[in-house]
Amino acid sequence: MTSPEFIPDFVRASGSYRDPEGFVFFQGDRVFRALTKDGLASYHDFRQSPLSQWLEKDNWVTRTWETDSAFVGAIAAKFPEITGVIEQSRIPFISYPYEWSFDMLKDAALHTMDLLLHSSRHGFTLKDATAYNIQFPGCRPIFIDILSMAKYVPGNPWLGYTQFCQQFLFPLALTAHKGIHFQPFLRSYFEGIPPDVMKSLLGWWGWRKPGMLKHVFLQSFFQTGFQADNPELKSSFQSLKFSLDHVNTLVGAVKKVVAHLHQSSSQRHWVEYSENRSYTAPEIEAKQQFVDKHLEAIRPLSVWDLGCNTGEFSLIARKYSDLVIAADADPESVNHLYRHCRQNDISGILPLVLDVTNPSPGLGWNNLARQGFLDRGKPTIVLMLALLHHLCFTHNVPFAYVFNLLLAVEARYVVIEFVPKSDPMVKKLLANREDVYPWYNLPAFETEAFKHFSPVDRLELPTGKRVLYCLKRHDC
Amino acid sequence: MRKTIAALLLGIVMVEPDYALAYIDPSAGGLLVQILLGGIAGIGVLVKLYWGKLTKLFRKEKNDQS
Repeated sequence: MTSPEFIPDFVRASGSYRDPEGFVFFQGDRVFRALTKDGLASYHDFRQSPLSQWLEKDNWVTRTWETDSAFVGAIAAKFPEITGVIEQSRIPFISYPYEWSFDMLKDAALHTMDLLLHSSRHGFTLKDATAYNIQFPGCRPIFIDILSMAKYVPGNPWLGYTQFCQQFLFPLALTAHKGIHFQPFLRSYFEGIPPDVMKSLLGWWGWRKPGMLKHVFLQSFFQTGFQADNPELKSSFQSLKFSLDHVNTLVGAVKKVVAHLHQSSSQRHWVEYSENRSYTAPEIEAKQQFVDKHLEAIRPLSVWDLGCNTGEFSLIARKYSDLVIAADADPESVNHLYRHCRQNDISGILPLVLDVTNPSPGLGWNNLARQGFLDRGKPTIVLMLALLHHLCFTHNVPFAYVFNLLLAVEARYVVIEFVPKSDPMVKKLLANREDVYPWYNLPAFETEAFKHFSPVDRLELPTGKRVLYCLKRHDC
Repeated sequence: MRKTIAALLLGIVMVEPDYALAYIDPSAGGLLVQILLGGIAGIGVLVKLYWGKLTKLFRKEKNDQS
C-alpha cells in the first residue's frame, strides 16, 4: 500500500491543464494521471474494450494501470474532483515536435491517424490530435495521452482536424513543398501553424499541391470569413450530424496527403559534408576507439552527443547506454540518423534537432508548459566531438561558456575535441574573415577546462594535431 | 420556421447544441471544411451561410440609405 505521505512529493505537470477530465502529475520518476469521475468512466470504457490490450501489446500506446485506493485517496484529499489515478510507463526523455526531424513528425502523424482509424473500428476516437501526445521512447512513435481515447459520440465531426492540420500536416507540407524547415515555426506557434499563415507561406501557386486547396486555402478562407462566435454559424453546425464513416473518410484522405509528403533533398549540406574528410583512416579509428574505451569504462546512464552530425558516435554510445540524446542543429543530419535507427530497429538513441547555441527554451503558459531542453535531464557524459571550433569561430562562444554549460547540465564527464587553428577545417572557417580569436589555443583551452574538470585521458591525433580529452568533473 | 424548413430541405436532423468531448476549439474554418467535404447536405448549409452573409450586406446598405 502506498503511503499517504506521497503528497509532499507531488509535482503537477505544468503543461497538463487543458483536459477537464484529468491531469498529469509526477512522483519522483513515476508518471500518473489523476482522473475525474468522467475521466475514470472513459478510462474504464477503454480498458474494457479489446482495443486497449491490442494497442498496448503492439506498443501503439503507453502502458497504463490503475493505482490502489489509498493512493487515490491521498490525491483526492487535495483534489476533491479526482476519483481515480492511473500510472503510466515512463518515457526516458521527453521531446517536442519542434525538436523532431521531418520523418519523425511524419511517423508521429501517421501513428496518430492509424490510431484514429483502428480505434474507430471499436467505436473509439481521439478527443484531440496534438503532436505533443506522441513521444519517441525508441526509434518508433508511441501515443502517451490515454485520456484522449474516448467513445465516439454520434454526430461529432473530427474534433482534432484543425489541430492535426496545424501541428502535423502544415509543418510537413511546409518542408516538403517549400524546403523550409518547420522546427522554428512549431517552436513559435504554440498551437501549430495557423491556416492563414500557412497559406501565405505556400504562396498562391501552393493550392496546386495535393490536399493544399482543401486543407489550407479553403480552411483559411472559411476561417477568415466566419468568426467562431457567429450565432448563425453555430445554429448551422447544430443542424448537421456527422458520422464515424464521415470522420474516417476525412482521416483517410488526410492520411493519404501526409503519406505522400517527402523531405526535399535540395538543402543537404551537413549530410554530405563530413568532418571525416580532414581525418585519415587511422585517425578515425583512433578517435572511435578513444570514445568507445571511455564509454565502456563509464557505462553512462545517459549520453548527450551534442553536434552529433549523422550520429557516428551516438551509435557507439548506445552500446554502453540505454539513453543517448543525439542532437544536431541540422535537421537533415538528424533525419538521416532517425531513418537509420528506424530502418535497422536501433533503440536507445533519440535524435533531436537542436542548436547548442540556442537550445529549446521553456514555452507556453508561464514558460513552463514545455520544458527547456537543458531542464529535461542530466547527462552522465556529454560528447562534444568536432564541435568546439564551430562554437568558437562561427558563434564566438568563449571556452568558459562551453564549460559553464557542461556544469549547468551537471555532466559528470565530457569527451571533447580541440581542433587547432592549423587544422584545414578551421582554416576554412576563417578563410574570409579576420582572425579575432587570439584566445583560441590549446593552453588557454586546458586552463579553462581544468578549472572544473580533471583529465582522465588525452589523445593527440597526428595529422591535424587535433586533441581528444576525456574529462571528469572535479566534484565527482 | 426558416430554420425548420432549411433543416427539412437539407434532410438533416437537429443534434445537441455543443459537440461532446470538444475541449479543444475545433475552429470554424475546420468545421466548414468538414461540412463541405461531408457532401451535398453540407454544401446546402454553406450556401445558406453565405446567402445569409449576402442578404445581411444588402440589409445594411438599405439601412444606411434610410
